[in-house]
Amino acid sequence: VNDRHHAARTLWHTTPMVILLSTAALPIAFVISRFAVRPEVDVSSLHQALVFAVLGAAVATLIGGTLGGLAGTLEIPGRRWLVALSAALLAAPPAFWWIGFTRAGVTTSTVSGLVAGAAVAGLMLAPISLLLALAATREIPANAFEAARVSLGPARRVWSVLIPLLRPALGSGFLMTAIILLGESEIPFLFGFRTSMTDVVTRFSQTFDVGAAVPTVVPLLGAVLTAGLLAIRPLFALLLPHSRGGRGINRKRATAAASTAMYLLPGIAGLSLSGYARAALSAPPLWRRLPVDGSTLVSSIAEPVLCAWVAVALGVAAALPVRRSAAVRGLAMAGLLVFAIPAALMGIGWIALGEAFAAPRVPPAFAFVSRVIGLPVVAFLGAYARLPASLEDAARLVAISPWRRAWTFVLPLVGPSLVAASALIAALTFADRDVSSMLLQPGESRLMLNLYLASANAPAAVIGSMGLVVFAAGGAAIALSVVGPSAVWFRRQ
Amino acid sequence: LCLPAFLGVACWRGAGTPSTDAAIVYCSADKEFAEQIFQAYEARSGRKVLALYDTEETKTAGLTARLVAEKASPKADVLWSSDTSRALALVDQGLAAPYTPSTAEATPARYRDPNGRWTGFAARIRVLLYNTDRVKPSEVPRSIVDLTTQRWKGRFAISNPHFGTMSFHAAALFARWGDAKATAFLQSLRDNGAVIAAGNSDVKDRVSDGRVDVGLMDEDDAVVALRDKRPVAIAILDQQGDAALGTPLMPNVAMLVAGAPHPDAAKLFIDFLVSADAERILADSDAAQYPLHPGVPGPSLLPPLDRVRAMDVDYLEVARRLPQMDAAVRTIFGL
Repeated sequence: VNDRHHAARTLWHTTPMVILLSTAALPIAFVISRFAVRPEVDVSSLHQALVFAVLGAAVATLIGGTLGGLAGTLEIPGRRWLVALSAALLAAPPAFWWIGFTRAGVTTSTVSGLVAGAAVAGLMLAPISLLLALAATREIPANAFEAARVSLGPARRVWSVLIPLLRPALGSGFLMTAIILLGESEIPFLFGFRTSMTDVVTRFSQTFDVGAAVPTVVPLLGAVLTAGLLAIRPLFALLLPHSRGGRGINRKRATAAASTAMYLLPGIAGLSLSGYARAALSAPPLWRRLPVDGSTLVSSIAEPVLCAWVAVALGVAAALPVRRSAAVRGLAMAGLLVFAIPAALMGIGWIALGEAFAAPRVPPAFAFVSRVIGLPVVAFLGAYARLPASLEDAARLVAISPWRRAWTFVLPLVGPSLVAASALIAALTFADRDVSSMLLQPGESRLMLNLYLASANAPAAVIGSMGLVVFAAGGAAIALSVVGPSAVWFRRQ
Repeated sequence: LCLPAFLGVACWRGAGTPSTDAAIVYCSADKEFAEQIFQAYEARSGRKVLALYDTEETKTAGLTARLVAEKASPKADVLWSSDTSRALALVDQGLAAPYTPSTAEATPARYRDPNGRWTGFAARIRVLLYNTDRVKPSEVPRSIVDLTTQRWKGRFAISNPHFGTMSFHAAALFARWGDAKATAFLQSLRDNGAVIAAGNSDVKDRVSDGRVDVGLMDEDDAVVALRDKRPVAIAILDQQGDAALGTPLMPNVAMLVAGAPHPDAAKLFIDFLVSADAERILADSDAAQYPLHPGVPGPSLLPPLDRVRAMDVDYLEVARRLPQMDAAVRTIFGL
């Protein structure tokens, strides 16, 4: 009877999460059902997409992993600021930084093609591996690394001790970057090569027929889901440490070369922004012709903030009942797989669903939220796993409802992770161009889409001014997305 | 709190039906230039324009595909197409409603449909942009056919012929030369290492940066490079000799969408769009487009239209050659 009761309770608790993830995956399931009716695949650009993703991810892992290792093991002046400034590259897509870079007076004449595009995209996404490697260094057993410091030379210590200990971070960083690059279309367009994602976007836009895009969508889906499956193990190994205590490295003083290396990514961000500023100042009167209106500015900021808050609220509401269940791990994995699917494919799926049921076209926010819904679940799980189980057991002694207990005790403790997830969701939503171009209604616009439209033909000064506005608005969106959950949860402390 | 707010915003957006005063315009012209027209119209009429744009990589084809998909339940009132052929292809599909704007009476008849299903205005021409650091004036190609010679092997760029005005250019060659000769020409371009760029602006950037020596594009893209003071100059191809082919001249097209939800607002907007006033705005701006109304001054950085030999083509015939051109491009370039 107890077993049956336990199973029923687990089923009851997992139901919200299952409904949430099923709804999020519904558009993709619908697209796949179209494939089942007409099983055709087009892999003509898949190999290019894979080469682009693997090369870019390798560059990102090499640079980000190295910098993360340096920041995690060495005491570098201004380390926290340098890491934060490096992470700023994630606040906008690689193409945004590249457009600014080309306006900075740096010779870019020979930079084109797949290899160059992969190198540039990898460089701009290096902060993913940096942050993961940095997080992993905090989990390294202090005694093991100190022993290595005493007994091994620097090269051997890095090769035989540090890299193996950072392997989950480097592996998950590589795969997460590859997933993002498989869904990237702007860099291939700018560098003049095809990938599966560019084919999906152009074919769908050219025909506005989901059926025409399905043969390209299916192999791409296969690639991202495979990468997502491979990423689960290293990412969970990083997020869910098996034991606590005695971890974290005592940082030693960095050499000048190591300190200088940490300026690489902030330097790239600064150079790109200076390119926009330089272009903007090339003809100051053009400020007046800046194609930005109030409603575009407000909606461009409000949309990512709302998406972040809704995704976090829904993710937490669905994850709370199953937080102590064994099923939560599987559900978090499913959420991670949904996140691996590019937002543009979600957008196409929602359009297909709308057409099939003669429903009005959904706002872009639906596509964004359905893609990222798994992120707060994973963030919640990762943070909750670090809490001592006895803490919540003790809280059970207080005579309040389970929801009130979660609100009062659990959420403040997992707050920082959810705040980070909220910021990431806002950044991803703000950075999108593909979904906006497919799902916006006449009269609506978004800053990032406008920047791409302007970069086609507008004078340099307009592009420069817009780039700066886009960066400022992106920063505002991320800041607001963080302020919301922070205000709610930290107040509880 | 978040969920109701989210749903509220979504529902408000869904319920936000445009008023009958507003015209919904699907616009493949560059946003930067189109907004100047919309602002002028809104200031003059007090009515709103709700525009939907194409991305550079799917120019016009994206919007025309959307119009076809929405045929049973049209959402757009007006198509403002910067690509003449893609827009006219919609005429044969029954997507255009007849309307003859009085403001376009002075426009030459060849740029208008006698049945009022489309009206041309503010034309562009195809030009060659060359990098002055890499190409001497004496070396500049004089004909598009010169791009198949050894001198330009791997050193010239065109945009993807499936999209935008390059698709008009290619289809115009099919209409003028016939399928066999035009297909052979595309094959020669491919064999000579044509660099396929994402769009005209990408061609402009590649020429300006010196990644290629020359590139085909519209004159407005070229003018942007000149105004940005890049090391480039403009040449107009196929101008010399009595039998010269001429360069494609592509009017913008205004089309009233069949079954438009706001026909009165659409007609008022079309009246303004094809007027001499709108052409003047487009000529004076960085769009640098040639007015078709007699007596309206043309763009300052370009030769006057009466000194440009335009390719003599039937625009509807160009539109009808698009499928053959698309098929040839797919076979030859694998695009």
